[in-house]
Amino acid sequence: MTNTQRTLGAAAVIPIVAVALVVIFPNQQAFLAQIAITALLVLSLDLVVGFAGLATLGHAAMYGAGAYAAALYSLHVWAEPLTGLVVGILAGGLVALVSALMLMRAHGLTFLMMTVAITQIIYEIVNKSRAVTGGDDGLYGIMMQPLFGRFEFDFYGRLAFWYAAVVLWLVFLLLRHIAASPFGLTARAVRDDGGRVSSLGGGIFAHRVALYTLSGGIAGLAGALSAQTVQVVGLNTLSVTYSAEILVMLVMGGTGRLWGALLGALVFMMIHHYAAEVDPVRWMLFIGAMLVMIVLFLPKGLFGGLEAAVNRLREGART
Amino acid sequence: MLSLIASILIDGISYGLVLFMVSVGLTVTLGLMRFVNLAHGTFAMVGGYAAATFVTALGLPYVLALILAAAVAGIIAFGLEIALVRRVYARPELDQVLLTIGLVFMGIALSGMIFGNSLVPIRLPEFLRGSTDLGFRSMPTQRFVPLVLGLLSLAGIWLLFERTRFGVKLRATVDNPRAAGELGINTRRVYAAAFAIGAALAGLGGVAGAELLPVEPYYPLKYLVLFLAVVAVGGPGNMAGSFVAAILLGTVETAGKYLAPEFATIALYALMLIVLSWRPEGLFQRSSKT
Amino acid sequence: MNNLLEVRNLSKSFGGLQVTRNVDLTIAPGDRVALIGPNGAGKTTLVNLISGVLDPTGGEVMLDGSKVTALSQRQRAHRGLIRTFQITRLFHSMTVADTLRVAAIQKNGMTYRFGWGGRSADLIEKSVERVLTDLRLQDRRDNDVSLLAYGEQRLVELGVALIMEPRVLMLDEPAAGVPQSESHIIMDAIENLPAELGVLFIEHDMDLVFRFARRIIVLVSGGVFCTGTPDEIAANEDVRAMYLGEAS
Repeated sequence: MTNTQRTLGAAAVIPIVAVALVVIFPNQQAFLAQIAITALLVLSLDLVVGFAGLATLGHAAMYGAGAYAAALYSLHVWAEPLTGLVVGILAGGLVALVSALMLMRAHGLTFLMMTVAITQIIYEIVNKSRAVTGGDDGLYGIMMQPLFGRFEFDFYGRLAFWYAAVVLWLVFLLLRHIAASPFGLTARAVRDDGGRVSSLGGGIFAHRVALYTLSGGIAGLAGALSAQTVQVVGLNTLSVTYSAEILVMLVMGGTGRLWGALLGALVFMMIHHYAAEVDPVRWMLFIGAMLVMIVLFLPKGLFGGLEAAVNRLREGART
Repeated sequence: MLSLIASILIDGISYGLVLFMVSVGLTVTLGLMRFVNLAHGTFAMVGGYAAATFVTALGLPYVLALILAAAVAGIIAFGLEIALVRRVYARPELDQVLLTIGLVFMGIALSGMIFGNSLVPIRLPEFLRGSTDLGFRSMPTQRFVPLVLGLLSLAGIWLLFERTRFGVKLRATVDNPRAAGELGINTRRVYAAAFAIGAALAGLGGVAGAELLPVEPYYPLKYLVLFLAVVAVGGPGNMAGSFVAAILLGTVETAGKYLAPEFATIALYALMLIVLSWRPEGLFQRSSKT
Repeated sequence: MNNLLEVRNLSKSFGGLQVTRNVDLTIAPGDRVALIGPNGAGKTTLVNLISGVLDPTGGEVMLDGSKVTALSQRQRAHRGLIRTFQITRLFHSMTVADTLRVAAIQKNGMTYRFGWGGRSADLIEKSVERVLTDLRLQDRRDNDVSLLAYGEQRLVELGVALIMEPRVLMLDEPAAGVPQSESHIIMDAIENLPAELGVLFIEHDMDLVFRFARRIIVLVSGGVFCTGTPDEIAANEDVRAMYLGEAS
């Protein structure tokens, strides 16, 4: 395969899967939109966990910031969707930028702790600012104007799904491009050995801040999409528990490869959809057990496992 | 005014001692064994549930239940160390985070399934009920439990690390596992024992602190940050640092609850954030530029 | 000739322990200076001080006649002061070419480029090719660095430094850990270093020292014990007794 073929092939995957999902689940497009939005969020998390090598339990802070900002914007300023997405990106990016300035000198446990602390502070502030954010009732009654002034958001989530899927697709292509760029290559180098990059004259602090801000912008975008399509924003979008949940999805799929984020979100959301209504307590047990199993037996995630299996099959075919 | 300050100090210190008891094991695993253990609070919860069961269902006396509860937490931790935890000592931090979050989720689910979702009180013996008059105010008598046990734990930990062969072995093992192994120290057993002792202390803290941090399924997640904060602020591996940090954080949160209950949580997290961005290695670690 | 690098009265203490004592040294363009001394003499510490990983407790580091003592490792690297590490530090998830690209990206200040277009990208590819050719690593271009033989990893470590187009290059035991059978590739690489480059290298292998060094500095207990040409050092009874005798 040439590079061009590979790029085109990779670009085709999301549209093909999107069409396939709509064919298989024609009456569940609102749920499919949720999957696309979650995949976008997990993709942004992969920038921090996979590309920067930092374990975070605070990614929901940027997602929630984007969701609340987009919701408030549509309620009080303008209910036009695309500018709302921009507001979400800016909100998520801003929260990420400010936190990164505090976070990016820390490592390991200290970093993890600080991500939690920042998320909790934002959570409490939003919770207490009842007049603006609705406190623990959340924000509701978000009514979006038609997309491009023409396409109405329908009750069944048909437009919502395609809207979210297209945004996901574009961001995925963008991130693949960035991953292979000088910026992306430097990110991997900083993850592997930051001290070595400084010895080569690279500024690792600024680079990490930039990467975290990029990731926060995308998380904010996912939050805005969620606010616009679900039309409700609640405190749970800002919680540490939700941060942990998306981390589980990423790890389940496999970190550092972008594909893993998509696969993890899809598989997790599917299992959740069919299992969680049964019994939320058992669901939690299942998630916990999955995590333990993945760490012990599938450290590269489902995508890594799949890849290894495919390679083994190819080897087998060759001999 | 003076009595307000005294109240804050007394409540803050007993709260801080609970935090210390639960967190001191974490200082060992995180700081010395370099294992990022987010599941540590689970052992405190296990202790709490065990004590409640021993007292309520089996009718054992409180003090005996307290000791047994610590033992249960220690034994479960010992088993987990052998079965799961020791496999990831050498793995990247992220793997340790994920494994232990997995354990937290399982702990929450299992305790919800077994004990239900409401708070489980630990019935107190006669001599701990009611309140004691301190002259300027009265205090629930049971709050002496963390006060006494916390100070005892501090002394016990100090003795264990500084004055016993086990302490020497542990320090040798964390300093240089290979050299310790060559000296005939069974390093795997030392690690397992240290992990279990830390968990047992957490179990004790879980029971002693049940009034302040009530036992419920979400316990390990709800207070996770608090326990980690003690370790991070005190400096991982620094026992005395953890003690001071626990008292400090306990007092700050208590003061917040007295003075501005709306903003106590924000104040606590903000304090933590400030301390950690100022000194990422903790308050009491000498900063080093390497 | 003007000195590229000048170290004046450099000292470092950790707590009460003095690990570097009043070291003076100079490197001119084209210099090949070996830094030798028994284990624990403070050779790597000295390189860390000069490269800016550690802050000295006293003394100055000058580059091209201007003080750089207050500058970070990063800033010194941009001025052409580059070092390698005693234990290879490569980016373990990358191929040889990507590892070299990372260095070239830092060198050319392209860290915040989100694509490969433009003239500077061509520049990077050219310099990667040049270093791969110079070090005869073309066949290894797309191999993962972590899977290379150790001798080749040391070579990539050197390549990473060379792509930075250093003016002063400090090599911390370039042949350390390389099996005898592969050591010739390191020797060749050092032999072919650009002539105008000023090189300071730490080495234990006396063959290597006497083959390349035109000046030798003997470091003992953090201080300069003596300096001289290889012949002078070889003839120095004290050095023989203390160090060479022990090594042979």
